[in-house]
Amino acid sequence: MREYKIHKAPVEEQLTDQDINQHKDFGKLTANYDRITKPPTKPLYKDPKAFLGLVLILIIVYLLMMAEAEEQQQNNTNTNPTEQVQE
Amino acid sequence: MESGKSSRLKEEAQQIEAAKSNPERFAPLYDKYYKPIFIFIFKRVSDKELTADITSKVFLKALLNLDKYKFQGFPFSSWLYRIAVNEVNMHYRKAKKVVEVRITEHNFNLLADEIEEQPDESSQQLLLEAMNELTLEQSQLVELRFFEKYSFKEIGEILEITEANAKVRLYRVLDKLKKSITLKRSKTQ
Repeated sequence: MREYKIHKAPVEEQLTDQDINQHKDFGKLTANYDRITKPPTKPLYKDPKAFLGLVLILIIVYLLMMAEAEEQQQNNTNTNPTEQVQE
Repeated sequence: MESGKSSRLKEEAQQIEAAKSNPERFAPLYDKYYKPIFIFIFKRVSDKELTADITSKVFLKALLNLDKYKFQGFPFSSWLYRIAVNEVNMHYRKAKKVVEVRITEHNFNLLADEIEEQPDESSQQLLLEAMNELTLEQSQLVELRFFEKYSFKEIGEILEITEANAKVRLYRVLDKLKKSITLKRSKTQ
Protein backbone atom coordinates (compact mmCIF):
# COMPACT_ATOMS: atom_id res chain seq x y z
CA MET A 1 0.00 0.00 0.00
CA ARG A 2 1.28 3.44 -0.93
CA GLU A 3 0.33 6.94 0.04
CA TYR A 4 1.21 9.71 -2.38
CA LYS A 5 1.93 13.25 -1.22
CA ILE A 6 2.46 16.24 -3.44
CA HIS A 7 5.34 18.54 -2.61
CA LYS A 8 5.59 21.94 -4.23
CA ALA A 9 9.40 21.94 -4.15
CA PRO A 10 11.38 19.32 -6.04
CA VAL A 11 13.12 16.73 -3.87
CA GLU A 12 16.48 18.16 -4.93
CA GLU A 13 15.54 21.37 -3.10
CA GLN A 14 14.74 19.49 0.12
CA LEU A 15 18.04 17.66 -0.04
CA THR A 16 21.36 19.47 -0.32
CA ASP A 17 24.52 17.99 -1.81
CA GLN A 18 25.99 18.14 1.68
CA ASP A 19 23.14 15.98 3.02
CA ILE A 20 23.96 13.37 0.42
CA ASN A 21 27.75 13.55 0.47
CA GLN A 22 28.08 13.28 4.25
CA HIS A 23 26.89 9.68 3.97
CA LYS A 24 28.93 8.84 0.89
CA ASP A 25 31.82 6.65 2.00
CA PHE A 26 33.40 4.22 -0.43
CA GLY A 27 35.91 3.06 2.20
CA LYS A 28 33.06 1.93 4.46
CA LEU A 29 31.46 0.09 1.56
CA THR A 30 34.62 -1.87 0.73
CA ALA A 31 35.25 -2.55 4.44
CA ASN A 32 31.75 -4.02 4.76
CA TYR A 33 32.33 -6.00 1.58
CA ASP A 34 35.62 -7.40 2.97
CA ARG A 35 34.01 -8.22 6.31
CA ILE A 36 31.37 -10.32 4.54
CA THR A 37 33.48 -11.95 1.86
CA LYS A 38 36.90 -12.44 3.42
CA PRO A 39 37.63 -14.78 6.35
CA PRO A 40 39.45 -13.26 9.35
CA THR A 41 43.09 -12.78 8.34
CA LYS A 42 44.62 -14.55 11.40
CA PRO A 43 43.46 -17.88 12.71
CA LEU A 44 42.39 -17.68 16.34
CA TYR A 45 45.36 -19.62 17.70
CA LYS A 46 47.83 -17.27 15.94
CA ASP A 47 46.37 -14.10 17.47
CA PRO A 48 48.14 -13.63 20.87
CA LYS A 49 45.18 -11.87 22.54
CA ALA A 50 42.63 -14.38 21.28
CA PHE A 51 44.94 -17.23 22.19
CA LEU A 52 45.38 -15.93 25.75
CA GLY A 53 41.62 -15.54 26.05
CA LEU A 54 41.10 -19.07 24.84
CA VAL A 55 43.63 -20.45 27.35
CA LEU A 56 41.95 -18.47 30.16
CA ILE A 57 38.53 -19.87 29.21
CA LEU A 58 39.94 -23.40 29.17
CA ILE A 59 41.54 -22.93 32.61
CA ILE A 60 38.28 -21.60 34.07
CA VAL A 61 36.30 -24.51 32.58
CA TYR A 62 38.89 -26.96 33.96
CA LEU A 63 38.77 -25.41 37.45
CA LEU A 64 34.96 -25.43 37.45
CA MET A 65 34.93 -29.09 36.43
CA MET A 66 37.44 -29.94 39.13
CA ALA A 67 35.45 -28.05 41.78
CA GLU A 68 32.27 -29.83 40.72
CA ALA A 69 33.95 -33.24 40.78
CA GLU A 70 35.34 -32.54 44.24
CA GLU A 71 31.95 -31.41 45.50
CA GLN A 72 30.35 -34.54 44.13
CA GLN A 73 32.95 -36.71 45.81
CA GLN A 74 32.34 -34.97 49.11
CA ASN A 75 28.57 -35.47 48.74
CA ASN A 76 29.09 -39.16 48.10
CA THR A 77 31.13 -39.62 51.25
CA ASN A 78 28.52 -37.71 53.28
CA THR A 79 25.53 -39.68 51.99
CA ASN A 80 27.10 -43.18 52.31
CA PRO A 81 28.65 -43.25 55.78
CA THR A 82 27.60 -46.92 56.25
CA GLU A 83 29.72 -48.06 53.35
CA GLN A 84 32.71 -46.49 55.02
CA VAL A 85 31.88 -48.16 58.32
CA GLN A 86 31.58 -51.58 56.66
CA GLU A 87 34.98 -51.20 55.06
CA MET B 1 24.28 11.51 -29.78
CA GLU B 2 23.46 7.78 -29.98
CA SER B 3 27.12 6.90 -30.44
CA GLY B 4 27.97 9.04 -27.41
CA LYS B 5 25.44 7.08 -25.36
CA SER B 6 26.72 3.74 -26.60
CA SER B 7 30.33 4.70 -25.88
CA ARG B 8 29.30 5.70 -22.34
CA LEU B 9 27.60 2.33 -21.92
CA LYS B 10 30.69 0.58 -23.26
CA GLU B 11 32.89 2.45 -20.82
CA GLU B 12 30.52 1.53 -18.02
CA ALA B 13 30.61 -2.13 -19.05
CA GLN B 14 34.40 -2.02 -18.81
CA GLN B 15 34.22 -0.46 -15.35
CA ILE B 16 31.85 -3.23 -14.24
CA GLU B 17 34.18 -5.93 -15.57
CA ALA B 18 37.12 -4.32 -13.79
CA ALA B 19 35.13 -4.13 -10.52
CA LYS B 20 34.25 -7.82 -10.78
CA SER B 21 37.89 -8.76 -10.34
CA ASN B 22 38.79 -5.93 -7.96
CA PRO B 23 36.11 -4.31 -5.74
CA GLU B 24 38.26 -1.18 -5.37
CA ARG B 25 37.55 -0.49 -9.05
CA PHE B 26 33.85 -0.12 -8.18
CA ALA B 27 34.60 3.45 -7.03
CA PRO B 28 33.76 5.27 -10.32
CA LEU B 29 30.36 3.55 -10.48
CA TYR B 30 29.73 4.36 -6.82
CA ASP B 31 30.62 8.02 -7.40
CA LYS B 32 28.45 8.24 -10.49
CA TYR B 33 25.30 6.67 -9.05
CA TYR B 34 25.37 7.46 -5.33
CA LYS B 35 23.44 10.71 -5.65
CA PRO B 36 20.67 9.51 -8.04
CA ILE B 37 20.08 6.38 -5.97
CA PHE B 38 20.03 8.45 -2.75
CA ILE B 39 17.42 10.80 -4.22
CA PHE B 40 15.36 7.88 -5.60
CA ILE B 41 15.21 6.30 -2.14
CA PHE B 42 14.63 9.61 -0.33
CA LYS B 43 11.48 10.16 -2.40
CA ARG B 44 10.14 6.91 -0.93
CA VAL B 45 11.24 7.06 2.68
CA SER B 46 11.43 10.84 3.37
CA ASP B 47 14.09 10.40 6.06
CA LYS B 48 17.73 11.27 5.43
CA GLU B 49 19.27 8.78 7.88
CA LEU B 50 17.08 5.93 6.72
CA THR B 51 17.81 6.86 3.11
CA ALA B 52 21.56 6.72 3.81
CA ASP B 53 21.16 3.33 5.45
CA ILE B 54 19.15 1.84 2.56
CA THR B 55 21.48 3.42 -0.02
CA SER B 56 24.51 1.75 1.57
CA LYS B 57 22.64 -1.57 1.56
CA VAL B 58 21.89 -1.13 -2.14
CA PHE B 59 25.54 -0.56 -3.05
CA LEU B 60 26.75 -3.36 -0.80
CA LYS B 61 24.28 -5.78 -2.42
CA ALA B 62 25.33 -4.57 -5.86
CA LEU B 63 29.00 -5.15 -5.04
CA LEU B 64 28.34 -8.55 -3.50
CA ASN B 65 26.32 -9.68 -6.52
CA LEU B 66 28.37 -8.01 -9.21
CA ASP B 67 29.48 -11.42 -10.54
CA LYS B 68 25.88 -12.19 -11.44
CA TYR B 69 25.42 -8.95 -13.37
CA LYS B 70 25.37 -9.31 -17.12
CA PHE B 71 25.62 -6.26 -19.31
CA GLN B 72 22.63 -6.22 -21.69
CA GLY B 73 22.91 -2.77 -23.18
CA PHE B 74 21.17 -0.93 -20.32
CA PRO B 75 22.81 1.58 -18.02
CA PHE B 76 24.11 0.05 -14.80
CA SER B 77 21.68 2.35 -12.97
CA SER B 78 18.73 0.15 -14.09
CA TRP B 79 20.16 -2.70 -12.06
CA LEU B 80 20.83 -0.43 -9.08
CA TYR B 81 17.26 0.92 -9.22
CA ARG B 82 15.95 -2.64 -9.26
CA ILE B 83 17.90 -3.38 -6.08
CA ALA B 84 16.73 -0.06 -4.57
CA VAL B 85 13.07 -0.83 -5.34
CA ASN B 86 13.43 -4.22 -3.64
CA GLU B 87 15.23 -2.79 -0.61
CA VAL B 88 12.61 -0.06 -0.10
CA ASN B 89 9.80 -2.60 -0.42
CA MET B 90 11.57 -4.92 2.02
CA HIS B 91 11.98 -2.07 4.50
CA TYR B 92 8.27 -1.26 4.43
CA ARG B 93 7.29 -4.92 4.64
CA LYS B 94 9.44 -5.35 7.73
CA ALA B 95 8.24 -2.12 9.32
CA LYS B 96 4.64 -2.91 8.31
CA LYS B 97 4.20 0.72 7.30
CA VAL B 98 2.52 2.45 4.38
CA VAL B 99 4.98 3.65 1.74
CA GLU B 100 4.85 7.43 1.48
CA VAL B 101 5.93 8.66 -1.95
CA ARG B 102 6.81 12.31 -2.53
CA ILE B 103 5.79 13.71 -5.88
CA THR B 104 6.52 17.16 -7.17
CA GLU B 105 3.57 19.14 -8.43
CA HIS B 106 5.16 19.28 -11.88
CA ASN B 107 5.44 15.49 -12.19
CA PHE B 108 1.98 15.01 -10.77
CA ASN B 109 0.55 17.36 -13.41
CA LEU B 110 2.31 15.36 -16.14
CA LEU B 111 0.42 12.29 -14.98
CA ALA B 112 -2.83 14.26 -14.73
CA ASP B 113 -2.25 15.45 -18.31
CA GLU B 114 -1.75 11.89 -19.51
CA ILE B 115 -5.11 10.78 -18.15
CA GLU B 116 -6.73 14.00 -19.35
CA GLU B 117 -7.44 15.44 -15.94
CA GLN B 118 -7.52 19.14 -15.17
CA PRO B 119 -4.76 20.25 -12.77
CA ASP B 120 -7.33 21.77 -10.38
CA GLU B 121 -7.49 20.90 -6.69
CA SER B 122 -10.52 18.59 -6.78
CA SER B 123 -9.11 16.59 -9.71
CA GLN B 124 -5.77 16.38 -7.93
CA GLN B 125 -7.47 14.98 -4.85
CA LEU B 126 -9.39 12.39 -6.88
CA LEU B 127 -6.26 11.32 -8.72
CA LEU B 128 -4.34 10.98 -5.45
CA GLU B 129 -7.12 8.83 -4.00
CA ALA B 130 -7.15 6.67 -7.12
CA MET B 131 -3.36 6.29 -6.98
CA ASN B 132 -3.48 5.25 -3.34
CA GLU B 133 -5.65 2.32 -4.41
CA LEU B 134 -3.10 0.93 -6.86
CA THR B 135 -1.22 -2.27 -6.13
CA LEU B 136 2.52 -2.15 -5.49
CA GLU B 137 3.38 -3.31 -9.00
CA GLN B 138 0.99 -0.78 -10.61
CA SER B 139 2.36 2.08 -8.48
CA GLN B 140 5.93 1.21 -9.43
CA LEU B 141 5.06 1.41 -13.12
CA VAL B 142 3.53 4.87 -12.72
CA GLU B 143 6.39 6.10 -10.57
CA LEU B 144 9.13 4.92 -12.90
CA ARG B 145 7.45 6.31 -15.98
CA PHE B 146 6.07 9.65 -14.78
CA PHE B 147 8.15 10.55 -11.73
CA GLU B 148 11.52 9.06 -12.66
CA LYS B 149 11.03 9.64 -16.43
CA TYR B 150 12.29 6.22 -17.52
CA SER B 151 11.84 4.78 -20.97
CA PHE B 152 9.72 1.63 -21.34
CA LYS B 153 12.90 -0.26 -22.16
CA GLU B 154 14.49 0.78 -18.86
CA ILE B 155 11.29 0.11 -16.90
CA GLY B 156 11.24 -3.37 -18.39
CA GLU B 157 14.83 -3.89 -17.26
CA ILE B 158 14.15 -2.64 -13.72
CA LEU B 159 10.96 -4.65 -13.22
CA GLU B 160 12.28 -7.68 -15.14
CA ILE B 161 9.55 -7.63 -17.78
CA THR B 162 9.69 -6.97 -21.51
CA GLU B 163 9.47 -3.48 -22.96
CA ALA B 164 6.13 -4.29 -24.66
CA ASN B 165 4.79 -5.73 -21.44
CA ALA B 166 5.78 -2.60 -19.52
CA LYS B 167 3.89 -0.51 -22.06
CA VAL B 168 0.76 -2.66 -21.98
CA ARG B 169 0.73 -2.82 -18.19
CA LEU B 170 1.21 0.93 -17.79
CA TYR B 171 -1.65 1.76 -20.16
CA ARG B 172 -3.87 -0.65 -18.20
CA VAL B 173 -2.97 1.19 -15.01
CA LEU B 174 -3.73 4.58 -16.60
CA ASP B 175 -7.07 3.19 -17.75
CA LYS B 176 -7.77 1.96 -14.23
CA LEU B 177 -6.97 5.42 -12.85
CA LYS B 178 -9.32 7.08 -15.36
CA LYS B 179 -12.18 4.73 -14.49
CA SER B 180 -11.57 5.08 -10.77
CA ILE B 181 -11.66 8.90 -11.01
CA THR B 182 -14.86 8.83 -13.08
CA LEU B 183 -16.50 6.56 -10.52
CA LYS B 184 -15.41 8.73 -7.60
CA ARG B 185 -16.62 11.88 -9.38
CA SER B 186 -20.03 10.35 -10.12
CA LYS B 187 -20.37 9.38 -6.46
CA THR B 188 -19.65 12.88 -5.23
CA GLN B 189 -22.02 14.56 -7.69
